[in-house]
Amino acid sequence: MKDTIQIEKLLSEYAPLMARIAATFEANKSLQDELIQEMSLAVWRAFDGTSESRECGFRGEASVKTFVAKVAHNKAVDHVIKEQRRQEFAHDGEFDSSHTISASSSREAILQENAMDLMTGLRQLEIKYRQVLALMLEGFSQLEIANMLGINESAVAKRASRARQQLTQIMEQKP
Amino acid sequence: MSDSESAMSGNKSAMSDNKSAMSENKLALSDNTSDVNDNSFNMNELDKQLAQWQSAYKDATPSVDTDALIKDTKNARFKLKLKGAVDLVLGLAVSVWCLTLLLFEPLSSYQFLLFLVLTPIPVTFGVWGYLVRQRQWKVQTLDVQSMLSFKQNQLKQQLHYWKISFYGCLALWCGLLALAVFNVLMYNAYMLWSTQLLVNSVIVFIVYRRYKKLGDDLPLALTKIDDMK
Repeated sequence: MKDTIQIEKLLSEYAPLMARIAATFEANKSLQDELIQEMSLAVWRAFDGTSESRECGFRGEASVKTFVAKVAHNKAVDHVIKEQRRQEFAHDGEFDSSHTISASSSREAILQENAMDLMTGLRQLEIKYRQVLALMLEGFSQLEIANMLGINESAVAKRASRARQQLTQIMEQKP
Repeated sequence: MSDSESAMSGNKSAMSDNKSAMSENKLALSDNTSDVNDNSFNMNELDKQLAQWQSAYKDATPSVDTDALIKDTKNARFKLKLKGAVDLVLGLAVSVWCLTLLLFEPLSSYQFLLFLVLTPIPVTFGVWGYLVRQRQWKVQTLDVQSMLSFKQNQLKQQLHYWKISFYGCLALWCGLLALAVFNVLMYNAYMLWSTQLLVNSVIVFIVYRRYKKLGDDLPLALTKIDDMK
């Protein structure tokens, strides 16, 4: 019971992080919600695994945020693979702005527009670049990203540089 | 005297060379300084751009009803656990039933052999399903590269599974054909055996189509996953 309450608190805390990751990989709102739920279930299961088996759960080697982000990214990539196989995945899908907090002033409207542009741009990047950049934008270090993705730090640096170049180009091409 | 004069003149020209070298060094140093300035300017610009993107990324957070999310996740988790438990209990129940028959019912030797083979299958299937699900959960906690490699292996194994299924079905169909030919020739049971053959041909065809489709799609699916690595 105590574990359940702790996991619930953890899910509440990291729901925005999972939602951002889901939005980075899926434009369609209903699929996004489905993905967030899959991520939550995977995170819950992973923390369940901590008490059931040391082999397949959170082992305390990384921070909780890093672990949640890793599980969420895995789920997101898995989702992309499944959607590709279903041939329904839309790379340039519409970002559903009605689900972010509605803008009350012109400044907020501009901020939201920037956010929408960024997400649309991010979704146009190749998955390997998108992952690195999304994790950088979440504030993770290169070492943490390397551990999460299973690549070395220099590869992360290269991908980050290329991702930034590509995203800059995409953002500049916007009307 | 003239020697010392020429020596002095040599020193002078050497000093002048040194001066020009120093001035070149100064120029180079000034170039380097401007390069460093350019670099730090670019770095500042990049940092500024990243900070702007980070802020925009946080602004793009979709609204989430966390209470509903937790409730749905709880339900999904409960359903998953229930499904696993039902699978296991059903498998166990069928195995226990077969074992009861084996131990307490009078059976012919053929029936005994049949139930002896059948008894462990349901419970083994239940345990296998449980282990597969555990493995899939475990994969989600690995790094992305390992998860992608696992996915690639899974696709290859899936094709292998369908290949074995196809050859198995084909072997059974051939056995059925031999039986059908024998029965038609010996007992003229044409209708029964042709229907059996037709129904099984449809199954073999479906399995073949699935195997062929997976085989055709596999290279592209593997390349797509490779692109994500």
